[in-house]
Amino acid sequence: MERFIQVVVDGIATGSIYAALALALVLIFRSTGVVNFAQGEMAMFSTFIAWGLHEGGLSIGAAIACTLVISFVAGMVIERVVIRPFEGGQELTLVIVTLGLFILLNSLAGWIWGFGNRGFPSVFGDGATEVAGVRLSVESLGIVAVLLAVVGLLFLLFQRTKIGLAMRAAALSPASSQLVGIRVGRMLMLGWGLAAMLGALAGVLVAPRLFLDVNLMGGVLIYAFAAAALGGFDSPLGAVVGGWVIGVSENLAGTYVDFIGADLKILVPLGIIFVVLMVRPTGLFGTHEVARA
Amino acid sequence: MSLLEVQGLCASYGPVRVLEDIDFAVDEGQKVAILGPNGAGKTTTLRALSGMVSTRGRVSFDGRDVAGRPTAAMARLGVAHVPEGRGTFESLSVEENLRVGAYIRRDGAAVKEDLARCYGWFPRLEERRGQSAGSLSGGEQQMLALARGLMLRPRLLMLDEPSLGLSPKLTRELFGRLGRIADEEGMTVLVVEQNANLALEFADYAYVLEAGRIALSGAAAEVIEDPGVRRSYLGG
Repeated sequence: MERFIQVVVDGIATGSIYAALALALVLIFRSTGVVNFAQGEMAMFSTFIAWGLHEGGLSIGAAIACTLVISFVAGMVIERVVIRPFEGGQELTLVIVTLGLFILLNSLAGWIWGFGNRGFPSVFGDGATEVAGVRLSVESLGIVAVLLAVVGLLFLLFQRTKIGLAMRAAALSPASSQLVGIRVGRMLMLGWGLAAMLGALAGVLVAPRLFLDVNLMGGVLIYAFAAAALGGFDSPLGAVVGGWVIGVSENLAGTYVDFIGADLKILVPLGIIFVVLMVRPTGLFGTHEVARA
Repeated sequence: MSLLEVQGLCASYGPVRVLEDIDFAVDEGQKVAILGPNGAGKTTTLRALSGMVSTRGRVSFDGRDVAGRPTAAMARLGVAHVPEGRGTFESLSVEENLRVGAYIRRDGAAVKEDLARCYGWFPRLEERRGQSAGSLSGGEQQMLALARGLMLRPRLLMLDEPSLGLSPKLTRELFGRLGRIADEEGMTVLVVEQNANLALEFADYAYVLEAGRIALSGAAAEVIEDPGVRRSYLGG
């Protein structure tokens, strides 16, 4: 039983990392209708910045805090400079632009930091603690706590603040939003800033479990896509639940089903997604607009 | 000096010229109607004032030259434009729609009061405050759009074809309430409408737009007696 709980909690922790990146994808998708393929590489770049700041002498916590702020600003700059000129054009064009950004950031990171890999310390250390008689890793519990806090803050932002309401309005109908005085461009910038920050968070949480190199987020991005698809691409709640379902199911299958093991475990969540999307094409929590003709 | 003064306004969609040299004015506290058949350029006139189409000509609002300002900037000057098709945020709740309407305002306490006043004017909206706006009937959505415009506490309220998709009875009710609210608040209203009868009952002054030009203008009471207008828009 103890083993089972450990596997589930670790799965939720891994899933929380997928969920953080999936939330970033969902944020941008909701406001622009475009999937940002560069989200993972932006996160990788942020993680390198955190690593650089830590190497430069900052504590890992301070380095991460600085990185979140830098990523927020950089995300806004990317929207304004790279994305805005193509806004309102064809969605395919924007998708290609994000793919270009993917390649650019990947190469740029390699050029600056090289292609080797590095260790990245966990902000939570590598201790374990006992909860109700079960030994659990502090890191796993910390990751879950961070994600829950982030989800809570996002909920407050979007449901309880004026700027959050304006961001939702701008995503729903840019034209009507302008008529009530919302500067839609600024809302898009904010959305990209927030997404970049969420991605950075995913990066610094996952880096201690993998090695930091330019392809750090490649696998995570696939899982994040899967989480968003499973939960529904327009649903923040779906992104979180999707991430957890994937994290837990792959961990359980990898541990308890002998022939699956570590190599094939990715197939389990993908199988689940396949079945869910057959039954519910909008994902678990995705919605069609409710409208009366 | 009028609150809104328009001189030589031209507007086009790409190569297609829709408005030719329009002059008109709206005084503070006045209710002005722009009438005319489909395709005359009524909607384009409002869109031009909101910076939603490319224009030439002079537009002054409250003494300031505002021609070519972006849409959001016009709203920030106090122009509430309720567009054709209502511009409702369908998946937001009724109350969220109203709050979005007051987005540019910084006087939180007064916004709360205005919300209560809107619910007083439109009790149906209060009953449905938590429902998504998309689930409202057409008449309720038009009430919501109007209330959203009022939440801006506009210097100028512009309504595009509020009767669209409403039954004659609902349209009459809507204009009735709008008239009462405008009189109570001393509000300045510019309404574009195909239903000339109701619009002329409501308005103080009217312009008749035909093929992108102003064909006729005058006090609403005179325009309603004009033989040409009676023949074309009022059914004899």
